[in-house]
Amino acid sequence: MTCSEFLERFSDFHDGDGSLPDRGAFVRHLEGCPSCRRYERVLVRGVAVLREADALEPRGDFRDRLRHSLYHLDEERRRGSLTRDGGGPLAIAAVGLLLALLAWSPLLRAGDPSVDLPAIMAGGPTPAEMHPLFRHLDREIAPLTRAAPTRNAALWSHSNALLLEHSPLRARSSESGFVRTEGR
Amino acid sequence: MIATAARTEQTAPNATEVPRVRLADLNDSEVVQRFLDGDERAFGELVDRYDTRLVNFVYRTVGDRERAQDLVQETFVRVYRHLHRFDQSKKFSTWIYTIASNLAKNELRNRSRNPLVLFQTIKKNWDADHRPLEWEDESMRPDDLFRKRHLKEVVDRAVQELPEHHRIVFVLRELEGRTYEDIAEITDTNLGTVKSRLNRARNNFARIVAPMVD
Repeated sequence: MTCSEFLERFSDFHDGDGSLPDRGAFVRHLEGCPSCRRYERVLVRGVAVLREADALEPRGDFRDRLRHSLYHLDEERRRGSLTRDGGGPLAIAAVGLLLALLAWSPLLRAGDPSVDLPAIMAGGPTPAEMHPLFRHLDREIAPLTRAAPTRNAALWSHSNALLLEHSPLRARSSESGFVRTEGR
Repeated sequence: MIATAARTEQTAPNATEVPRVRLADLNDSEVVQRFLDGDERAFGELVDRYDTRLVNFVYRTVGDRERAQDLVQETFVRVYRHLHRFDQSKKFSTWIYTIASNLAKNELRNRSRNPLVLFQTIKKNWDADHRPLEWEDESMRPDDLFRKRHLKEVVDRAVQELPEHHRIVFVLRELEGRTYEDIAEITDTNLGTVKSRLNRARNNFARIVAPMVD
């Protein structure tokens, strides 16, 4: 038997009950190999020191803490059996459904909320406010706006005017110079 | 529960009552059966039998005394919770050690969530399983005084340096005296794996302690 074989199968030899078929080979190897003899000696001595080490005792409050934990476990079980009898899960589901209905109830009401906002009327700059470079534009545009009749004066002072201006109808209008002005 | 044991002890004995059997005289299966039949003192008897052993087993596995106490607490809580489902054809000691071993392994796994620690653990475990077994006759020997003073520390550290899957097998065999079959059941492996891991654990342990022990 080689040292490698001895080390590989050491546990079979060390823990065996004597029925190992080739136990004799192990014994003969040990007798002739000081290194493997030392291996066995170190292992046995090392484990003996390990076993001699002071055993760790449970802390002083170990039983009290365990008692406390088991008490709560018993309480959970007791409460569990009570809720099973009283339809606890159903009650919890009902409360949950009620809360969900309260949270979503505004959205369940019919109709969209209507909001009344005043029309935003944006005006252009007055000639005095305009940059000198662009004042000539005002002189060119203003006659056109005065000349061009508005279809319906009421439209231009109403939020519907914005819709008309940006509608496809406006795009089909071929009248040039038809410029809406505000604030004049 | 344990708390009710004291109250039952104080009741006055009745001449017609069957003589109370000492729980300490019963084996584990009989104590378990007594508990399931309603004798709450029986659980206290199980705690008496296993608390110190489990604390030491878990301590040797995780290396932390305080954490070992907590894990053994959790072990007994789980036993209390699931004892009614325990297969009484099996050994109770194997079952309770399995629970404690799994909790210890989870503890070690949680500690190695750091990627670097995890990598080092995986590498260490792989090396431990695949490195050839070796043993040197010549080694440095410190002086006797140093050795005696530090021998226990070295031996303790040698166990902690074993890879987790070797350490559990080593502690169960060398300190708890469990059989190979019990160890296989506790660690959910086969006999061949138990022998291989135990052999490697012993080899590593001997290499570390040799300079101090011999």
